[in-house]
Amino acid sequence: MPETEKIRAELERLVPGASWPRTYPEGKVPEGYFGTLPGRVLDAVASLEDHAREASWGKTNPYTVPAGYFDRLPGIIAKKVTPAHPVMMLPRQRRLSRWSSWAAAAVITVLIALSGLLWFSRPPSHSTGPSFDQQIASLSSEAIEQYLNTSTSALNTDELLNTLNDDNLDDASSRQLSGQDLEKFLSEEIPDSLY
Amino acid sequence: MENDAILLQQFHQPETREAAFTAIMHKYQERLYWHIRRMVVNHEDADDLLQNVFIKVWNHLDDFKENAQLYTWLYRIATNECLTFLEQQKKRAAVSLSDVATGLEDKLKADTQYDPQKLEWKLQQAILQLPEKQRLVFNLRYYDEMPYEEMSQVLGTSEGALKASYHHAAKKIEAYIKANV
Repeated sequence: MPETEKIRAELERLVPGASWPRTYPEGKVPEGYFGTLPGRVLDAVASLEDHAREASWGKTNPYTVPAGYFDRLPGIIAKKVTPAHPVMMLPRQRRLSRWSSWAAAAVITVLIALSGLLWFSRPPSHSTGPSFDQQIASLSSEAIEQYLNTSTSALNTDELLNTLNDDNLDDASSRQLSGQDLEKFLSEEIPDSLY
Repeated sequence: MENDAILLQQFHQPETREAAFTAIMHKYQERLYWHIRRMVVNHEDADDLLQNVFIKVWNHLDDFKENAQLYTWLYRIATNECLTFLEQQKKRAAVSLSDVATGLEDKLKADTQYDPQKLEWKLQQAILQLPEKQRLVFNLRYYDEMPYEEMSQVLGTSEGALKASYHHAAKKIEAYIKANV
């Protein structure tokens, strides 16, 4: 069955009795429109191609480079990218493992946190007077000399303590002296030779 | 009328390229024009779009796969041009708060031959009420008498969907004409 008959039968099934016109209403097309259209399209195509040609501005480069520039360039670049001293690569075993790095980072973080905690939890300074440096500056040289001649410094005490033999201390602490032994020891006459 | 395959061979030869293209235009211009005109209503718009279609054909005919039909390929390009144009119109209408369907109806009524008493104009008004895709399907089937298989190549839609679309379109047109007798 030709397509026209198929379409007619199909429409009759869909809309029984439909007698719709099959032609488009005679909308005006300017006289000679279809006769001139191909020529106008070809003109338009030619015009577009001319525009495309005009738009290509050429690629001649007006700039120049010093003679031999491109021959030397790879060598110059190679020198710049090659390090002056060869880089020593540590063997893999000697590099810190990832876990070691993380552990070190964690320790440092904890130390920083503790330092901060101690710093902020220390008792506040009540000093409102002149600073330590100012006080030192206000002292006369005579006063300082006198102080150094008469005072016993904490440093000297520490030095004395350091001279004690640890073994002696252990012996003393390990000796189990009874109260009577101590009394006897204290009541004994101390020989003059010891003075 | 020369065979499409021969025209394509001639188009690929530089010395016969322009003559072959002119022959293709002569062969298909009226069908494509009316296909576009039914979609955009106005002659000036149809003329612009048809010229764009042929310019695109000139630029891309070398890439055309010859296992497809030239005729469906041309319709496909024309249809895409129409849909793109109508989409642009919609965007403009959205900005100006007008309605594209109303705009097309206005263009229809502005035609010097317009006669609301004549059934052919009433049918055009009914068709303009349809959604774009249904309008396309109805026009291709009813006016261009295109088989569903070819229509499927033009619109990239299954034959079943096209049949359903044509069915809906015919029913809506019937209802519109009955209501406006």
